[in-house]
Amino acid sequence: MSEDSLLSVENLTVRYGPKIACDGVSLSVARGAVYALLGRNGAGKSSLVHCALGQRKPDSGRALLFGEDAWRTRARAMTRTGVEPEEPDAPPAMTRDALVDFCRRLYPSWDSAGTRARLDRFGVPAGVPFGALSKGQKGMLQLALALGPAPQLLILDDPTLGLDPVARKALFEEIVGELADRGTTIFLTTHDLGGIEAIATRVGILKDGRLVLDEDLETLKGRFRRIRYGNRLTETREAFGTELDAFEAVKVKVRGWGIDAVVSNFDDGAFERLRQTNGVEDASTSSMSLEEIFLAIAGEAAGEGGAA
Amino acid sequence: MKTVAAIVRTELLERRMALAAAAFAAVMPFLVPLARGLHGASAREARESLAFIVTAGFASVLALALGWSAISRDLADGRLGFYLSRPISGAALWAGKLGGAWILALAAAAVVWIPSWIASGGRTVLVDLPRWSGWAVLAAPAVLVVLAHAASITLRSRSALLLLDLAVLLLAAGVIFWLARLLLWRSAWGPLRVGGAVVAAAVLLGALTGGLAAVTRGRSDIRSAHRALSPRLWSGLAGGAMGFGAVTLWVLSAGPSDLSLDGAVPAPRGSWVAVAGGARGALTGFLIDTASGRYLRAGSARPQTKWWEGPSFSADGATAAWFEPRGGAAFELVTASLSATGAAARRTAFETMSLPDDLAVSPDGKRVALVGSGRVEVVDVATGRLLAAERLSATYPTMVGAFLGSDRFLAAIWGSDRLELFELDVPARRIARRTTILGLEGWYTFAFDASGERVLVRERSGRRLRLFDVRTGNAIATLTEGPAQNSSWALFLSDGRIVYLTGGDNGASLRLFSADGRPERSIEIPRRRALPGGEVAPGKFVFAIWSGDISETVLYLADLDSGDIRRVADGLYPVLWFATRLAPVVPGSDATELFYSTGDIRGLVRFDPLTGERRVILKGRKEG
Repeated sequence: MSEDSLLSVENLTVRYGPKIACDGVSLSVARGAVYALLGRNGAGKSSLVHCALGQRKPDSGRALLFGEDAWRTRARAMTRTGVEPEEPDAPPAMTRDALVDFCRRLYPSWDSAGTRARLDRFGVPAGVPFGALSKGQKGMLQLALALGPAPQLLILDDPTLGLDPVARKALFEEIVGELADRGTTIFLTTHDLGGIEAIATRVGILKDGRLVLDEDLETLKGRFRRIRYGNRLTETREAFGTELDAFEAVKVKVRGWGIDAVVSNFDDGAFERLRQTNGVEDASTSSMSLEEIFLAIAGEAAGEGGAA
Repeated sequence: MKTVAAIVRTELLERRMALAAAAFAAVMPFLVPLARGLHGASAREARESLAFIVTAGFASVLALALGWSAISRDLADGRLGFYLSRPISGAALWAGKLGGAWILALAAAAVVWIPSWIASGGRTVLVDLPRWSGWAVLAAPAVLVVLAHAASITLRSRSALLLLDLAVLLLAAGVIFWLARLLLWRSAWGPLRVGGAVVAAAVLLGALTGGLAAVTRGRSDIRSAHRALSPRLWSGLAGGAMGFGAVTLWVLSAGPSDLSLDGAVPAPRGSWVAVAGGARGALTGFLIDTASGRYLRAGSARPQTKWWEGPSFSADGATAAWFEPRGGAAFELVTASLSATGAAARRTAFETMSLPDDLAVSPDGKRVALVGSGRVEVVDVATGRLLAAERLSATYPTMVGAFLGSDRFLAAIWGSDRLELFELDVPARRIARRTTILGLEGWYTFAFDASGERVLVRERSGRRLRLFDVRTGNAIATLTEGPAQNSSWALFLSDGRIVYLTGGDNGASLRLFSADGRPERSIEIPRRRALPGGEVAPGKFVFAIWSGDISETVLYLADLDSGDIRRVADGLYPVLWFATRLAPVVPGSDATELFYSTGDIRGLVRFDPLTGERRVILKGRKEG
């Protein structure tokens, strides 16, 4: 683990009875990074977050916060960590001001003015018990509370869950602002791939408890491409040959007009060679969004097609 | 501490409605006296009593409800993460949440109580509360909060571990109940309190540490919390059971040297004596061989224990019988063969639900007779079989009895103005009324001779002593009639003559009568009270006299044939003075040489009045 890593997990395994939620997962979040952990529902994201927050003891492996075991040093690590949970969990009878007052007493430094300004900006009403707020308001209030102590590390567990587009936009703007102001390290899980694509620096994908991808977003987007070409290679036009081997195709569809493939190891030279291959007509390539990449990797079970 | 205070504050804010409910409850003590039309002092008393009940009830229910929900509800609903994702240690979270619940319960109690207290001018008619009650008022809600917290985690987790919790709870409760019965049977109230306190402290400690561990180690997962709690709870239960067991073992392992002697009943022959008293906080009895010092725990384990209700002996002193509790409300008959080489208790198959007034062992030690509740029953010791059972009275008079041989049993109904005597032929299972002595006056006592043919009856506090023929019920002679005595004792000597020992304001006297009741000799003694012993040799009678304090007794030996009396010891008095059993004591037997030593504390001494040889059997010991 790098010394500059604020959050990391090593061979983390979490079980719920016979079900394995996380299976030997290792990852590291460097200082200043925005790490987006992606995965379908039940992939193990929240279990990993609970372990990273020291709220759950891993069955094996360990989670580190600021280089120390999260389970043993949770309370100390939380002075430098802001957390927004997947489900709003603040005491339902407390108003926003009571919650702010409570949190203010817990941290060595607390930005009261900034928090109130943020809450006003989010439109979270004062005097309304937390339990009576809308889901979006609850989420924004919890984000404000997470940002209140000016944390070095922000952990957001699916923060956009249940938010309307306006609230989602506001949330991401706040995160971008936080990044711009203080360079806060962020670890988040989300299903909002479009929103996170603009700010994430590194992406991990959990699938059935295993970390199947852990990579800088830029590199990821560079090597994942969509390739399309007319297929004259075979008579039936219903199959393809070895021409995609160099690209490590993760998903290939044979269509009437030719081949539509997603590859995970795109290379310009190899693509040029493909274009010049006999039988390959009108070859083209296009970059992919994070959502498309995620669907290609994690979406098979939803009937997204076969692999090469 | 700052963190704990912040959480306490949150709890109070979140649950402030409880105080509003308390304010509503505070009105009740004022409404009830109005509704019942009470005025003045009775209204005030009713109000304060009700305020006390409502306060205690409200605070208890609130403490249980808050303890039940303070942490585990958040845990079950997944809301504990709010606290865990902040710089709050598990211990601070636990202390803050439960501390808040405790303070809220106390505050609610104050809200309910104070209006009534103010209405009474700051005083209360509920006086004489013990000094510790103030601490109890503070501690009780805390205890309830802690217990409810532990209980709620185990129940809310809905894990299979709950079955194991219940199993351990039932096992511990069963063990403690089983142990408590052993103490209850011995009226060991002090050790029971100590054992109960040990169990309560251990369970509370288990719930306390378990509840804490559930938060610090279980954190956001209620099943992990349950897994962290259960072993500590089990440890508390096991510790409590073991602590209770240790207290019980300590009580049960008491030996004769621990005994604070209440009294002793010697065997008519041989060297064994039954002693009873308090030892390590429990009523305890032993059979002790005064010759060897060997002993056997025996008797006294009965709810209405009196030291003279311990083991009964056969006439030869070779067999003892007594009852031990068996469980439920039953008692089982236990016998022991006594010899110079030791004794071993043997449980018989005979059980009874009610203890008899009297228990007698046949001369051969093979049969035991029980009298009481208007019935006489004879049991075969070897098989536990009931050999005979007869009803003598439809009511429940006081009864005594004695074997006149192994096949004949004499039973007496001790009525208010009559003495009814029955003889049971055991092999024939036939009961026959021998006689009824009528016209007895005042409180009377009686004593049979060795043959069971004559009975001495002392009436009206010793004003009159008469000798009756058991076969006819007729008075043979009136031995004496006069003023009431401070103390008076009548008994048969081994040769059939009669001794009447009295103590009065004008001095004590020992009067000797012939077998048919004619006066033979009278010896005056300058003391006001007297206690009889037995014949240390035929015609050699030992007795004790004293004036004021029984600790100043003087032991005398009287030669009944010559009329000489000799002071043989100070500070001793005979064990035989209180011989309620009817089996005759043989002259010169060890029983005649057993004496209580007086002084601050009673002890047991074997003393030969003829030689002056003395040996301590039990040192006097204060109940500890």
